[in-house]
Amino acid sequence: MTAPPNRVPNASELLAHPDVIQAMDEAWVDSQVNDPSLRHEEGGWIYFDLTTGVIVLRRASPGTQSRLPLANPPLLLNHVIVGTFHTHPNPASAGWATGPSSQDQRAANYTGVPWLIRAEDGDHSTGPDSRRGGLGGGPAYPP
Amino acid sequence: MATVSPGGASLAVADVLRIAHDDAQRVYRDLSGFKITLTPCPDGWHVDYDLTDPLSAGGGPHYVIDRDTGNILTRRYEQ
Repeated sequence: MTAPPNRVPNASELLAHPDVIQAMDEAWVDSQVNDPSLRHEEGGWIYFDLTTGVIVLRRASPGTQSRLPLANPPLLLNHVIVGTFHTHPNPASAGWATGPSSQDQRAANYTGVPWLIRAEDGDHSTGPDSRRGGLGGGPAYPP
Repeated sequence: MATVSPGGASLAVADVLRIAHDDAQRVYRDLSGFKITLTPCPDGWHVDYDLTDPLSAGGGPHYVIDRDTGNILTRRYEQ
């Protein structure tokens, strides 16, 4: 019998997790980055099973050209949110900054979990290195 | 029209906002949900578009506009 996990994964571990990579790959495809009139942000939330340590992902509704609401994550029994992910579909060649926005940084620090970002130049993260308060604090964003 | 003159500049606030807004509208198309801040600074007017929803991913445009000529000196399109 495996003991329950004693800590949550950090941003680097999340970015290297196969399920997170797959979810970000799918979000990138769904963002329609090659169509200037249709490209938009996609993303969602990353959960951690408090018993098994398994990573679970849930997608948010599609966003718009440059924003994606992440305020109301679905709550999963016996899981905590350990991160969010979203795409930056607009290209640097059109003058867009590809890394975390000032809003991303503020929101990540406010929610208390790392925010992962997929852009044309690779993956980025902002906010805390791992969920504020670790395994505690309930199923939503940490208090 | 009334003007606000940081350091003796003559460009009206409304003109600064129009210059920024024209560019922002062209690039972002939908400017609803943004709080717009205009700040007179030594290097020009700083015009910042920030989302009002604190838990949205995303971003807006940020400009520095010459306080005399109205030229956009720097622009940053955040997403």
